[in-house]
Amino acid sequence: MLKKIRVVLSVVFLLLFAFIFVDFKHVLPESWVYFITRFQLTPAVLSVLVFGGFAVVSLIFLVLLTIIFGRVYCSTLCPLGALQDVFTRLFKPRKKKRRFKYSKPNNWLRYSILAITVLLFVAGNSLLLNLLDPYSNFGKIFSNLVRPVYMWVNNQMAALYENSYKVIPVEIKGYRWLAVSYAALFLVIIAAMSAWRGRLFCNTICPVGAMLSLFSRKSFFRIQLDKEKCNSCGLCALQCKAECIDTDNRTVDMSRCVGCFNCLSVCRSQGVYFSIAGKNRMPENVLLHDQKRRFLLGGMVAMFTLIPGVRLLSAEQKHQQRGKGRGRDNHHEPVPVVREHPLSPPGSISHEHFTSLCTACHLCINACPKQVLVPAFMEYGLKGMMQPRLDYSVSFCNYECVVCSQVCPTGAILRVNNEEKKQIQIGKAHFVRRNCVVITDKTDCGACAEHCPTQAVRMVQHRNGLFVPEVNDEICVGCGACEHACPTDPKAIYVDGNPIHKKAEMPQTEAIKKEIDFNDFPF
Amino acid sequence: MKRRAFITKGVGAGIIAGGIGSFSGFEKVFASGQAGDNSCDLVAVRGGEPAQMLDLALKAQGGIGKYVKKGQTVVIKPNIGWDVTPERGGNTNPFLVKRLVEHCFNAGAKQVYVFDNTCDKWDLCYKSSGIEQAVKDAGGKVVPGHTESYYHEVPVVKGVNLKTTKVHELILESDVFINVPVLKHHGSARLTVSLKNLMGVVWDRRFWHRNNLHQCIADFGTFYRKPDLNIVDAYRVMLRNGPRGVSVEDVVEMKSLMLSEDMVALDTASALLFGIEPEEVNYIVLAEKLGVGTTDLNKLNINRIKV
Repeated sequence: MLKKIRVVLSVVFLLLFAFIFVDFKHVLPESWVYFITRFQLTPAVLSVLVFGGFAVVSLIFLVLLTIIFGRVYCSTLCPLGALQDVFTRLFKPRKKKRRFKYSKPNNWLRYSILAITVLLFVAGNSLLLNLLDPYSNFGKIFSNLVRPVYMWVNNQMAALYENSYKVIPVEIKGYRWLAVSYAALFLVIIAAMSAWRGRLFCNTICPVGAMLSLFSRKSFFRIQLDKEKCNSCGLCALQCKAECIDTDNRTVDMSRCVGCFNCLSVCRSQGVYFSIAGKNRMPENVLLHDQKRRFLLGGMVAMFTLIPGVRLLSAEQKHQQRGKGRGRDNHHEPVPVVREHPLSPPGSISHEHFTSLCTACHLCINACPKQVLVPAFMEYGLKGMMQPRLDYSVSFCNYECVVCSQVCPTGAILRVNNEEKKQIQIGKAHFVRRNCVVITDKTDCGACAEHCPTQAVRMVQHRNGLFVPEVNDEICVGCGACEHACPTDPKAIYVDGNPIHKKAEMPQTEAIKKEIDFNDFPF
Repeated sequence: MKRRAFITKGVGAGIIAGGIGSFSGFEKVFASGQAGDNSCDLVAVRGGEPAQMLDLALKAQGGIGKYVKKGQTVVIKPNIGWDVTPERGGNTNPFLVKRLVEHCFNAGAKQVYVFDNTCDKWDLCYKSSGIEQAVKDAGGKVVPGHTESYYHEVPVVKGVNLKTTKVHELILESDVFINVPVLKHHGSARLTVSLKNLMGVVWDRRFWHRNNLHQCIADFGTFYRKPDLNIVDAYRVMLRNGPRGVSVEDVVEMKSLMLSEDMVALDTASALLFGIEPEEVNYIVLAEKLGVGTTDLNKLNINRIKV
């Protein structure tokens, strides 16, 4: 029964998460997408650090769940866990030979990885989370590998039913080789590890698994082997993906048990049961072990709560210091275009804020209706690889849109509303006069000013009746519409990112005073 | 797939016919023979509401039946370029589009399609402009124009700079093509009206901007598949910061509507209504040189209607 519930839940969550990462038609509203991510530990932890307050609810839920029932999270809520189960099942050996067997915990490795991940994060570097976090990598796999296939199938359907205009084709663009390769590599590794030894990844590498193991080790409910009924036949251990059942000693390592309940359904002598701990007392040496665990756990909690606060504070101070020293002038940018800084999404405050909190799950990349977000290469530096940046060769940022800020599950992109967003300057447009078609070809163009939502780029009188662009960077929001529209190569107008987002002035307008005579026909 | 293959072949045949130069003239003979003819070269209406002015203008021309016959497919090309609301004057008035779709169906149209190759994200533009809802309410069909797969490369025989361009399949295959621009300021083209609005039926606009925008706009005016009818929405007119506009303060209510088969004449009249000299708008001058139409309004029979 418990196993059935587990299977149903894991399938539901697997499908839900798969869907939110491939749903390029945006069937699900952003609020739903965001809500679904509340069931993931890494986003929950990061949200608490960024937002505090109400965000703590989902973290408390996940931690309590684990304290009470053990790591059921890993078998129900974690989509990467479910994906591994799929591989375990797919690669099930045909002949009935030994599948899994009890193995010793790899504590040194898993807690080292956890510690390094946490320490790096505390130091403002989310690279290991980016590379190892199960939720984020599930996202990378589905948005980089599965979504384009879904789009391609959609386009085939659109071609097939073209007369009805019911299936709408989509441009498959914005994919980058680094993210696609990493997602593919990660998928292969996960598939191989789970085919070989079940939840090996979860119990040796996964920082979320290691984190939860600290709470699940002494969970209220535990898998237990009945000292009398269990005959140590080893059937349960054979089915245990976590390889945590030691039938010789009739013990179960709850720090590794992922709560799949396969052992319960396979036992023929009712020797395995899941209930509140205490019926069979643990031996003394485990208690000693427990004290060590508490110390470790306390340390982790401290790191997750106190130090990041200090970190964020110091980051803010740095921003202020840098803010004082600014005032660079880019009027003599060389041709061709050299961009000094990438562009991070509106709401991400600064590259420092963004890169230290983004785990590159690519949810915003999928959500962006303009497909302007692409995974970065090294534009943010090594620590920001695969994190989203705006690429104006692909598209530009829609003025009336805040979708990325609505779905970001970690707070790397803070929520902003439409009005706030219109004053966030993520970068500034730079006009490269020598590249402009009006100067080189002496013909009108104006594609840049045409697309500019604030008229930060506007056409002014040049000579011979021609009009040439002029940039007012006080009201420029850095949306890149000008750069995207510019027809020259190299571009005559481009946007350079603001490492710290600034506030743009609102464009000043006053009503046109013009008397209209509706009886007048001027021709 | 079948239709696309058909279009490619059909376009070839059309080009031959267009090259000979008898295509549009042939239609005119047909049309005037039927309409009993008190129709004019240009109709201008002022002082009414969008749908009301359309009714009056069409009535003056003897009804939309002059252009739309029973069982025909119609494609309407409004300006839906921007993700802005109707008050901003960035897109064609939705009430006008709705009424036009209704007229087409009343005349017995089999299907009425509406699309634009938008500048902002297409579905957001369709929604914000109110045009998607308006067309649906009238029973027509909004069609996307956001991927290259909808566009087919065709030659522009008389083009000076624009020799070929990719045109939306609905323009190439529909029986009737109605161009419904909104009159607006334009930062570089000065003005956007009928000729400029046709930039929304092609795929690669960058080429136009790169290769003398005014010449390309004029060149495309010679394209064999001309609009059968052009209707200018000058109800709300954006007088500056065009074509996108920054706020409602860029817009003035002019409460006007004009229609004609001649895009050059219509753009000339629109320039005067807007308050600039038509000669300032280079593509109007160039289009006249290519024989797309006339700027000499004195020679035309103009029907001026005050509401």
